[in-house]
Amino acid sequence: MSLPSSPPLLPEQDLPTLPTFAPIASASNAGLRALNRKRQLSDYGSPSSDPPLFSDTTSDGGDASHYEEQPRRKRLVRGPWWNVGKGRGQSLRRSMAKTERLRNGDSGVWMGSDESEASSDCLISSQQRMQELAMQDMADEEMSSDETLPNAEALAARLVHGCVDKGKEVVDLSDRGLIHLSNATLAPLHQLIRPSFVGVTHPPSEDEFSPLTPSIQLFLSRNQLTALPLELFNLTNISVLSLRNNDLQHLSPAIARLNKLKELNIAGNNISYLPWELLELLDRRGKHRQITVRPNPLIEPCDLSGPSPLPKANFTRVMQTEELARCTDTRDTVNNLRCKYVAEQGTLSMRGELELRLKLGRMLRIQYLQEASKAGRELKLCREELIYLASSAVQYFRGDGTPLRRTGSQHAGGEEFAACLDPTATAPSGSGSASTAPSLFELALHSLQTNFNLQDFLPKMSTFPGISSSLASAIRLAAANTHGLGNETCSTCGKHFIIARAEWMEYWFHGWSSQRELTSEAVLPFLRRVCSWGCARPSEAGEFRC
Amino acid sequence: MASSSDYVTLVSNDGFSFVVQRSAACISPVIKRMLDPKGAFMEARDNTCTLQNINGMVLEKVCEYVYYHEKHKDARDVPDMDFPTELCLELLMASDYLNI
Repeated sequence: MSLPSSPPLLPEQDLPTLPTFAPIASASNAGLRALNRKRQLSDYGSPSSDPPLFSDTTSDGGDASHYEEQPRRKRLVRGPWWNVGKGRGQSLRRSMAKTERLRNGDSGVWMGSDESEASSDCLISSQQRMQELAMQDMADEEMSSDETLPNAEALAARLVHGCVDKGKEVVDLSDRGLIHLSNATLAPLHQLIRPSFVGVTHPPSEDEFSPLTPSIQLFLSRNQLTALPLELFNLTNISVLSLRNNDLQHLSPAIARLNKLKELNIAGNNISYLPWELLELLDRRGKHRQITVRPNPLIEPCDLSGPSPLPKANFTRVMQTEELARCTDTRDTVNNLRCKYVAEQGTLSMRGELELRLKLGRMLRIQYLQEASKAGRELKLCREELIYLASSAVQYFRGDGTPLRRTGSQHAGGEEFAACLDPTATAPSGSGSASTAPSLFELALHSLQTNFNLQDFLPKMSTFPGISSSLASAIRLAAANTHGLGNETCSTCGKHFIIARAEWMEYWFHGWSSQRELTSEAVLPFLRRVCSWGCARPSEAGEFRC
Repeated sequence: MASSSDYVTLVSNDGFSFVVQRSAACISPVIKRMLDPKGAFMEARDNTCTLQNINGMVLEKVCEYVYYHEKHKDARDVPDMDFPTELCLELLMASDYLNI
């Protein structure tokens, strides 16, 4: 047999070489039928009523002899001719375009004829082509992300993409077994817009003018995340964020950036303290926010189990409002209570002290509210009380960030953040110790951070003589801040700083006013970090937020 | 010579000397220890510190900072001090050494 037994080889590479089409080959060997159907090269100039179909028979896998035996099966080809036989694997593209399996006008070889049907085809097919190109881009993106990311995250990335495409505001990535979440996965959420009103059947009314800014609801619960991607804190449109049941060790202070947050759930993590910024979120000032913190292994100021040490009859009695109004100085009243207790029962335990402070805070709060209502000011109250209880001893740091040795004996017990009565007792003495001015170290580091690209400098750092290890770590921290979430904010003066000069834990009561006794569930620890030793001023007993 | 005058002299490694107030200079624990009248260092006798690893240009900025710190000790909104960018790293190392 003179005919080739296998189909002609198709070009595999991308180069637009002309494939060896069977039809042309068959024109010489096969019968008249094929000759009639197919134009020969010399026919190009002459007008023909043949429908401008571009056919490809090579996929049928037969030799030319098939043409005589069975009716020819034509396969319509989409795309330019050099893609023939290439795109078999792209089933996604095919399925997306399946509904409009029309001839593609961009065959590149045959011109369209005068038939009206064909010209309308051209219009449709060019539209379709545009869609296809878009689909192809998307498919490529997804495929590339498949290769670089682990499975669980690739799936998450696809879900995020799906939500962005459909304009869905609820992004549910819960229960996906995520161990790590990268910035690239969440970044598409920046492009999410609320779907606008699509129907155009009637003239638009006023209700339809709504903002396109979405209120994203991001659910990351029941994964194994140990850290959150930085990009999360840039998504300021998040209104609901659930991080329930993950393995987070701490919550970044950057959480305060999500100022549209209405609901935050960090329950079931490994968090032992909260950032100071979360107190500002809890202090809602009229905004309704629901923040679920427990259960978490939060540290406690002191042992809060068991019944209150204060005798019920005299101490935890509810003060009548008239009685409160008569109290000119509430602090004196509480001091009297303390003296009375010491006289009757001996020394007051830390627990008792905390309960007295809680009482003081409550009384001051009620007095403040009474005054405000008398003055006719409008107040937006939250139902829960937020009252300062105690601080741990302040840990001071040197200019380069190394901790200053504590002179007190508090550190010995291993309870690093236990509440104490005089938090600033360990303050370093000497001139300029209580200054609020930034250190020269901080100023120079800040200048270095803003004027130079520290990322380039880091590898060369070891070649510089005279850079101590603390200096090197400070520079590394500054470099990390520029590429991350920026510098920290001082919790006292609000200035940005790179090196914290002091930190301590503050315990605040967060619960209902009906609660008489202090329980461990109602006390939240907040870590405060400040920019200078002068800013290391813990809150005063009796401080409260409305 | 008086063991503790109100002014002390800081000398850089290239021979520039700066006369600054003792109270201002003593914000650095290192300088303070050197100039401690109770200590037996030669610096305490002469009221002069020679800083072997700081050059004149940097020491000038350090002295400027020392007064800046004195001025803004209790101020609430402290404006940041400006330095020439090329001195940043040297200043950082100097401040690390002087612990200020």
